[in-house]
Amino acid sequence: MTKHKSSKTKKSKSVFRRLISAKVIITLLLLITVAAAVSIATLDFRVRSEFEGKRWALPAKVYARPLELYIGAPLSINDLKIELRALGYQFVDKVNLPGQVAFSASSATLSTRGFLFPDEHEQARQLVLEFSGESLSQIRSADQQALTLIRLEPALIGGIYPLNNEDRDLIQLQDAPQAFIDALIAIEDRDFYDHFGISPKGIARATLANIRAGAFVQGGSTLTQQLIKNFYLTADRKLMRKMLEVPMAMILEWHYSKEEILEAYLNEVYLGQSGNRAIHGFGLGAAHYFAQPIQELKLHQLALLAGLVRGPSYYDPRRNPERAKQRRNLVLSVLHQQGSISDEEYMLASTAELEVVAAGSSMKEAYPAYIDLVKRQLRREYKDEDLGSEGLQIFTSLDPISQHKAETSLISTIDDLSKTHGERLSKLQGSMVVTDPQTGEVLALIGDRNTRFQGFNRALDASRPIGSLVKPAVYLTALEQGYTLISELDDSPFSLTLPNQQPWTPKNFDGKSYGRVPLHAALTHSYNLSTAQLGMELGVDKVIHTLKRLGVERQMDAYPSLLLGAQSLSTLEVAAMYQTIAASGFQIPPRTIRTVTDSAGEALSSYPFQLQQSIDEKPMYLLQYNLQQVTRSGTARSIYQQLPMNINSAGKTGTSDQQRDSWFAGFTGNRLAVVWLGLDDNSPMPITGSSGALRAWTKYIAQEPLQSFEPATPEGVVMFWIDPLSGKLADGLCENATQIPFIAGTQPTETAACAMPEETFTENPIKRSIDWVKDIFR
Amino acid sequence: MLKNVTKPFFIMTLMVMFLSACSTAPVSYKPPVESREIPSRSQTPETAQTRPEPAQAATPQALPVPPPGSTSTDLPATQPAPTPSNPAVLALLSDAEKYQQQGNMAAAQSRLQRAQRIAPRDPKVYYQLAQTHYELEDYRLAEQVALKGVSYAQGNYAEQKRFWLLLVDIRLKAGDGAGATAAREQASRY
Repeated sequence: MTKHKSSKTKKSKSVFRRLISAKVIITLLLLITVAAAVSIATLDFRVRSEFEGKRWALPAKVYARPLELYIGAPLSINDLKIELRALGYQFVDKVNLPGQVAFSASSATLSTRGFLFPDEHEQARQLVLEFSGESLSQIRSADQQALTLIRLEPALIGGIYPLNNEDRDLIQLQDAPQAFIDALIAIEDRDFYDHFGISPKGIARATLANIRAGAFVQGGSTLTQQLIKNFYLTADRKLMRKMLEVPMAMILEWHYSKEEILEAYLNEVYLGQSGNRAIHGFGLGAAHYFAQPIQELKLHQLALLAGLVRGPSYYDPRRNPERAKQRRNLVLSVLHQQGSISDEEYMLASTAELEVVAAGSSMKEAYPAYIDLVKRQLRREYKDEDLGSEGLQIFTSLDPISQHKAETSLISTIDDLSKTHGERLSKLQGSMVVTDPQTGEVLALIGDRNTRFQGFNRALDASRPIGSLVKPAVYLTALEQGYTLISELDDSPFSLTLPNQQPWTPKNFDGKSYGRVPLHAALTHSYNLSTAQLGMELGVDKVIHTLKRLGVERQMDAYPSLLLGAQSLSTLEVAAMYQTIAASGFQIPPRTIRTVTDSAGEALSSYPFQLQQSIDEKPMYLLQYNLQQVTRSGTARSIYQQLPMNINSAGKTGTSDQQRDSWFAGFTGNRLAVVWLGLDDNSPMPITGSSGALRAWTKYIAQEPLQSFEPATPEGVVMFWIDPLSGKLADGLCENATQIPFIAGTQPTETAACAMPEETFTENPIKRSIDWVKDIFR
Repeated sequence: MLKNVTKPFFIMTLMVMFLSACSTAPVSYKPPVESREIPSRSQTPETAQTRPEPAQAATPQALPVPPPGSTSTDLPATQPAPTPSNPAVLALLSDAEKYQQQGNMAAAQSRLQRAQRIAPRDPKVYYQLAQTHYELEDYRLAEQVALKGVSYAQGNYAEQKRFWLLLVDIRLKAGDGAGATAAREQASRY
C-alpha cells in the first residue's frame, strides 16, 4: 500500500515536476530572449549613440602668425627659407605639388597649401616671388598675374592637450591618398569592403599563416574590430571585451557605411608617443613622422604609416629603423603582389630611405616658452578642459623668423660668454622677449638657453633686479616736472641713512664722480650719483607712479635703492615698460593672441589692438631723444658697430648690484627686444649689461629688416640751438652749437655771446621765434 | 667748493656730447615711414621710404636730431605730400570700408589690424579703426586709437583735421563736452 501510494505520489510528482520544468524552461527561454534582446538593444544603443556622438577630445591648435606677402614686404630670401622650413615645405628643383618650393638666386616658386582663416579662405596656389635684397619686390601667380597680398598658411606651433594627453589632427576620408587606403587595407584587412564586421576568411588565413610560421605573424581582426576595441572597450576586462567585440563590430557594420567606419579608424588609431603626448590618427601621424600633411607624402612614407599600426613602438622608425624598413617593404610587396603598384613604383619605394624627421624637431614642441605665455593669456577666458577638448584654433603673433633669429643670437652669445669666461659662466642662463613696438604683439620669447626646454620660464617667472633699466622712469619723472635735457644735476658723492639706520652710499660704475652734469649726459652715461640724487629730490613714490604709468603692474616698495634698479621685474614686464616709451606714452600691453576660433573656424573671441595714453607725448619725446643718445654715444654705442647709421635706435643698458644681472632693453622703429642674462643661483658675473645682454640684442637686431625709430615731434616741442659751453641759446653760427628739443617755454632765456652780435640783438631770429612761441603759449 | 671743481667737468661733458651732434647737418623734412616696406640696401635714399641718412652719418656719434623748425606751433609753410599707402594696405582698407558700411565691424577690424601690421604708421588705418570702435560704442578705445592716429598724421593737415573732427564726435558720445570743445578748437586750426 505504502508502495502503491508512494508510486502514485511519485507519478503525480513527476507530472508536477514536468509541468514546473516546462514552465521554468519557457520562462527561462523568455527571460533569455528578453535579456538577449535587451542586451543587443543596449549594445546597439551604445554603439550607435557613441559612434554618432563620437567627439574626440580635440586638443587646441596653436598657430604662428601667417606670413604676409606683399610688394615691399621686409622679407629676404633667407627669411622665406626659415619660414618654409617651419611649415615643412619640401625644397625641390621643380614645383609640382602643394608644400613644395624651388629657389633660384633671387626668386622662389612655391605652391601653397591654402588655409581657412577666421576671416577668409586663402586659396592654395602657385606663386613666383622675386626678391630685391632685404625685401620682396614682386609677387606673381603661375599665369603671370601680378598679386597684391597673399597670406601663407600659418605654422602649427603647439597644442593644448586633454588630460589623457591624446593628440590628434582630424582628417576626412577624402584627405587620405588612395595609395594609403590601399596600403592600409592590404596589410590590415584585405576583405574590408566585403565582410560584415568579422572576417572568417581573414581568421582562417591568419591561423594558417601563424601555423606555418610557428609564431604569431598575422591577426585576423578586421579594421572594424580594431576600431571597436579602441573606441569602446579599452577599459573593459579582457574576456568581456573579446565576447563583446564580435557583436559590436557586427552592429557597427549594420548601421554604418564602410566609408564612415574607415574615416573613424583613420582618426582613432594609435601611432606612437612623443614624450607624454600620445600620437593618434594618421593626420597627426604624418606630421609626427614626416612633418608634412598626409596628402603630400610619398608612397614609401604612406606604406610606413600603414605598417606602423601593427606595433608603433616595435616598428618605431626612429628607434628601430631596420625593422621599420622591413615592415614598410612588406606593405609595399603586398601592394605589388595584388597589382596596386607597378614594378617601377615598387622598386623606387622599397629602396627609398625612411625620410623620417628627427625626434624633437617638431615645430609643435619648438616654442614652449611662447606657448606658456599663450596658455596663461588663454586661461583668463577659457577653462582648461575646453582648451584640451574642444578643438579650438588659437591664432598667435609668434613670428618664426624673428624667433629663429632671437634664438640663434641669444644662444651664440651665451656660448661665446661661457667659452670666454670658463667655469664662472658655464651655467649662464638667459631670456628674451621681442615685440612689435607699434602693435604690442609679442613676436618671440625665450625662457631658457635650451629653447625647447619645457620648464622654468625665465622670461615670465624669473624676477630679477633691473639695474639701470629703471633710470628712464626717473628721468621721465623729472622731465614731466619741468626739468629740461640740459638741467644741471649733481653727480657728487653722497650718503643717506635709510629708515633701517643702514647708510646708503651709491657709487658710479667707474667709481668716479662727475660733479655737475647736464641731465641728458647723466642718463646717456648711466651715472648713479646724479640719478639717485635726482630721484630723491623728485620722490621715490613719484618714480614708482611713473613706473606704473609705464605699464609695470606689480607692487613696488618705495626704497631709495629702487632709483638705481633694486626693483626686480621679469623680462616681459620690462618689455611692457619699454613698449610704452617706444609708443610715445601709449601703454600697449604685450599680447600674443589675435583670435580664438572653434573647430569649425568660427571666431569665439578676438583681441583688438588695445592702447591707453598714460604719459604726455612731450616729456616722452625728450626721453626718447635721450635714449637715442644712449645708443649713439652712451653706454650702448657699440650697437653701431653692427647697425647701419641711418637706423635710429633707443635703449638702455642695465647691470644689477655686483653684476648679478646683465640687461639690455631697446628698440628701433619696428622691433623692441629685451634681453636678460644671469645665473640661476644669483651669483655675481664678470659681465655687465653692455658686455653681455647688449651683445645678444645687437646680434639679433642686426639680422632683422629694420626701420629707423622716427617719433613724430609732438605739438609743443621745439628744437633750439644750444651752446654747450654755457648751456645758453645759440644759433647755427655758434661753434659746436647743437639742437636740443625742449617743451616750449622751458628753453633757456639767455642767449650765448657767440649768437648775439650786439648791433643785431633786436633782429636775432631765435629771439623772435622764442617770442612768437611765447605768444602761442600765453 | 665742489661747484668750482665741477664746472670744467660740466663743460667738458657737454662738449663731448655735442661735438659730434653739431656735425649733423639739418635734414630736410620727410614724412614718417608709413608702411613696413623697406628699401633694399642698394637703393638710393631718394627712392627709399625712410628718412635720408644724416649728412654726416659716418660719424658714430651722430645724434638723431629732429628737423629744425618742425614745431607744431610753427606750422610749416609748405605741407609735405602724404606718402601714398602700399597697394596691399589700400586693398585692406577698402575691404574694411565695405564691411564697415555693412555694419560688420568685426570683419572690418580684422582687415584693419592686418593693415596696421603692414603699415603701423599709416594714419588712415587708425582713422577707420577708431570709426569701428565708435560704431561699437567703445568710446574709450575709439578715442585712444584716434589720438594715436593724430600723432601719425603729423604734417598732414587735412588728415589731422579729420581726426580732430572724429574726436569731437567720439567725445560728445562719451559725454565729454569739454573734451569735445577742445577737439573742435584743434580741428579749427587746420
